[in-house]
Amino acid sequence: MEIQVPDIEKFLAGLVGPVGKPDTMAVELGAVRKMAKAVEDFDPIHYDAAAAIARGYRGVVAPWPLLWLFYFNGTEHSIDFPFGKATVHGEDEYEFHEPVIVGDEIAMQMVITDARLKQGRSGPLGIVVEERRFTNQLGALCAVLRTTLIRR
Amino acid sequence: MGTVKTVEPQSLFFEDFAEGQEFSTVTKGPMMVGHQVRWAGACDNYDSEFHHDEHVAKAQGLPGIILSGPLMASYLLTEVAHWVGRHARLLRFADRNVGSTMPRDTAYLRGRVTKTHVQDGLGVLEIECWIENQRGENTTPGRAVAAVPRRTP
Repeated sequence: MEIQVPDIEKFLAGLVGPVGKPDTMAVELGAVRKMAKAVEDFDPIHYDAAAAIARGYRGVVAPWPLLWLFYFNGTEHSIDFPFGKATVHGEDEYEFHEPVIVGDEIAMQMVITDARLKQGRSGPLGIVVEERRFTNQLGALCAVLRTTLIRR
Repeated sequence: MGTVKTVEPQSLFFEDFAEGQEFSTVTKGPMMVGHQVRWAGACDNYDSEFHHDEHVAKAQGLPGIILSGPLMASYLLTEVAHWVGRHARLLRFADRNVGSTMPRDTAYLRGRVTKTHVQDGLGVLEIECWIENQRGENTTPGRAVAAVPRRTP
């Protein structure tokens, strides 16, 4: 029997809240270089400590796409939707604060901040917003990444 | 620094930007599966087989391999960071995955300044950016905010 709208709404509402405990990952030079090369970012601050320090940083700077390494290697998490056929990565919003530097220990905490049903052209869509906050070993907020998933 | 040839972004200040100013288009590609595989390695994530295996992609009803949305957005984010110069700090970036990039597609990374203002003595740029493919389709609309120091504070 097909799941009814009130049950979908109840399922989605139950998703909202923190997911797991913070995960911590060390920022390694090799990982930073590998990401900088993958996104074709050849700014010397991502490769050379002297160049980064000359520009006012504490050390080699991680390119912001390194957040995706943490994203994919943090809390094991998947949503077992009782409706729809596919989940699509709809959009991302980034806030940037304190730069991530080689040698930092980055803690990532994930929270589902919104989960609701929306009427799309081809039927109901589940909209889920995941927020990941990245904090360094000094307690400084480095970045916030909000990802909107669409279930259809 | 191994085999990497580095290039420092330009030295630019707030006064170097104007509302409506368009940035130089950056062309990526043709995009190949190798780009996706390198991204998967950098993310240490190989879970979505349809991103690198055509057989799996087609079995899932896709027309073929689809390159990762965050990979394409990361190219765009990187270019925005370069467009605003080496003294700037990116404050925000957002993108939507509205179209697919497939192997052998070309990606044209474009952007323009939509608003300039001064806040707390620091120049702020609001930017509209996007990726267009060889068919002129906007696959990845985005926006960004950057803080840029003033030449004459």
